[in-house]
Amino acid sequence: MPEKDLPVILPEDVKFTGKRGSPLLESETFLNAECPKCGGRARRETDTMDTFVDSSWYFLAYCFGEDKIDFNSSLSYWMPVDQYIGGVEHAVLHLLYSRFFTRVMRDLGLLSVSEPFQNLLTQGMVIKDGAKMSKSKGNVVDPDYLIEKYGADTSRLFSLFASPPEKDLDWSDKGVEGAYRFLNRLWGVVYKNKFKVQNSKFKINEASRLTPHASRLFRKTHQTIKRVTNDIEREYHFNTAIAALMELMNEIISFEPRSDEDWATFRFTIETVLLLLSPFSPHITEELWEAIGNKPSIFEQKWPDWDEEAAKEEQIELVIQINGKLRSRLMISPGLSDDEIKKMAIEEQKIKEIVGNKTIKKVIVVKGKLVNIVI
Amino acid sequence: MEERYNPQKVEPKWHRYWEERKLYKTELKPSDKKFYCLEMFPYPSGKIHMGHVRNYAIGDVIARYKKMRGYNVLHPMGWDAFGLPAENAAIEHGVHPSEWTYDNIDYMKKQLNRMGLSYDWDREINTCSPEYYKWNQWFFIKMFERGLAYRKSSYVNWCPSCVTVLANEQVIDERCWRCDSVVIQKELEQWFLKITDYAEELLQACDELKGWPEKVVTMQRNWIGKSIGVEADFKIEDIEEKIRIFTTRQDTLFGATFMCIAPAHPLVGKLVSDKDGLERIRARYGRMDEKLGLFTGHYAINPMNDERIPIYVANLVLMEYGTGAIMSVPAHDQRDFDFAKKYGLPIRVVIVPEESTRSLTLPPRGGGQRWGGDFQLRTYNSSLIEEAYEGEGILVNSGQFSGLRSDIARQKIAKFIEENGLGKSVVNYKLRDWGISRQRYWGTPIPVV
Repeated sequence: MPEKDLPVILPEDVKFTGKRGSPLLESETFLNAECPKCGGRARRETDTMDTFVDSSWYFLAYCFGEDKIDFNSSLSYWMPVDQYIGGVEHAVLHLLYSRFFTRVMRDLGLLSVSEPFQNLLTQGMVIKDGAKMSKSKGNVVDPDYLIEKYGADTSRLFSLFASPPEKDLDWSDKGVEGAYRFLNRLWGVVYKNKFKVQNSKFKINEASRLTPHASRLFRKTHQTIKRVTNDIEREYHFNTAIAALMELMNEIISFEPRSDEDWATFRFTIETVLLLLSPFSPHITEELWEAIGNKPSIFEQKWPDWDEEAAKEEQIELVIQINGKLRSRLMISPGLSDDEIKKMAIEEQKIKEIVGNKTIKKVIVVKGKLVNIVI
Repeated sequence: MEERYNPQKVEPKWHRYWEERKLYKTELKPSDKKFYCLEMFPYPSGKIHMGHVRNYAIGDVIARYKKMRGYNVLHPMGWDAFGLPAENAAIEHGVHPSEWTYDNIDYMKKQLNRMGLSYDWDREINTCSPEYYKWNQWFFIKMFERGLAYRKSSYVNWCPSCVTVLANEQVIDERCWRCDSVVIQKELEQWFLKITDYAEELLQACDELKGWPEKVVTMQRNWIGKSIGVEADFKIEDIEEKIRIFTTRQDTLFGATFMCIAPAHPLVGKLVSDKDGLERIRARYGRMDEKLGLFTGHYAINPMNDERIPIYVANLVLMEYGTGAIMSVPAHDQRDFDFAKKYGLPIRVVIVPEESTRSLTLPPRGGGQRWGGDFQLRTYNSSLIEEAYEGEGILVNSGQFSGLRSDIARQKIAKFIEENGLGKSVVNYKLRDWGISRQRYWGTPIPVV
């Protein structure tokens, strides 16, 4: 058929009997056509296209925008898809056909790229009671029920926290409750402190001027920005990103602000948590962002940056003794295990020289103070 | 702000706000760096399930994150709205597929919005709307003009229960991917898209898919399935004719103990005198569940070892694949094995698994002499094997090629065949042209008169 006669519209007035194949075979108005070449009587093709044709180029249709088909500027701006996300069941057909169609369109001069999807993420299945969630297995959790009971933010947070995206997600009612509790705690801490936070206009100029406990929170906040950002950037590991936010939440709850600097630190931390959490749970973060005196929308804010210097762990000086005599010193970050500290002490250059090939009988670690090596 | 967290109050408030502010509307901003984030669009089956929730939550985090990182983000959603369930609903409940589909879309769109997903709904697409599917028709015509869409009569995978054609990709273990009925072969006029023209490019470009999971790339490669095979000629005894076969397992050529040709093979007229028998084979053409053969009374000569082997007409050899004739290697192909057992044909082992050879005490390899031959014949008594060994291994009973590994033997035998004028090397792809005709109502009409 010539292009100008498109579209061939699917007729609506047909009967569905389930017998004798397609109802189009009995639609006289559809069947009878005019031959575009000679004007004579002709019969229209009654077969329809495999629905995989529809999905082989739909990602291009979105680029056109509202009601306008524009095969030039908008396509070359938006294509290729930077991140495509879907089920692994489409790993062969849909993706192969889409790659094929994209190439045909390239060869028709409509498009400059060959590959439609730059990055692909195939998310795992949702598992409950050891089997894929499905109607036939009777282990389905209805999203409507979940949203009515806990809200969308909890539903989203749980599904992102329970496992990394590419792995199967094991359904757990406890996990949902956990996500809900976390959001409740966040709400509670903002509610309790919102006036103080709203009125905290103090600017943190120098981290070194903070009280020790504020300085700790300040550092932890920068560390969390770094962790969450890296977890998202690397393979979209949202589960560990959310875990980092939960850790920071614990710090906030045990933090008791006293001075202006403390309140400023507190505000900075709360704002950071809201910003970092906003992609996961967008509604509650919008609400709390507004509640502490900021203008919506939180999504018009910039993603926070961390300061590498501020994120640096505090170093502790450790004394190394050999047979009770001071021989060297070592700077370590807090939180290392005894075994790690032992290893570092033994491998310290000066200590290595003194020990030489003598046998080490014993290594004693006194937490935060010293290591004594007995030879 | 209320003391208690109440998502039922908080969430609708922000839905209204986002919509009023048109916060997720995307514009073309050529000076900004862009990020196109896309989740696979759903079939409007009625309601969303947890799999959707997970898929769209992941996409939404990425879209929102990138937006906050300063990208101009395109994050759209739409509906893969044509398909069989709508038609089945029409048959069962008397509701028009269009009404059924649009009702489902309305409901599911509400569900997605309740999830707080940052879609630019102004770009929503729906594949069952004429505004969308007219472009399917337009592409079809463009492809037709370029010779990329063509019609041919062919045997197709047919699902008797869905009353429609299935693509090869939709046949899983000889059953319909949707309803699990046994698929049969049926002759029909079909429209095809010539995806095979792009087979090599699609395969080569797999190397560039650095941002894809390795297992998906492997699945793409395997589906295209490139292999170097050979076409080899088997002379027919007493007649001045040859039968050309195609195989990708030329390493098993020495194990060919009979041949099969399709009932529509051009030489059938010359070779078969039992016309009734031939009719019976034709009637069951392409039926994978029932292997049926008819001995032609003629013999062919295996070009590798000059052995006389019987020629059969068989219902399971398809004229559409390869050359319409196959060499049958029962020890290393399960279908050939079943056929050989049924008709009492010889079975000869020519490949042994590599690991099994390690446990054997091998005769010395000195003086350029290869092990194998008679020694292996005694070890692997062909009449005792219970199923075909289709894997790779070490060649035995294969003349000068005995002792070689399958992959090396395939190259050497291909070369041998070419050099001795017995045939030629051929690149083969598992990928077939894409049959797009469906005998269904709820889809895009193929724009042909």
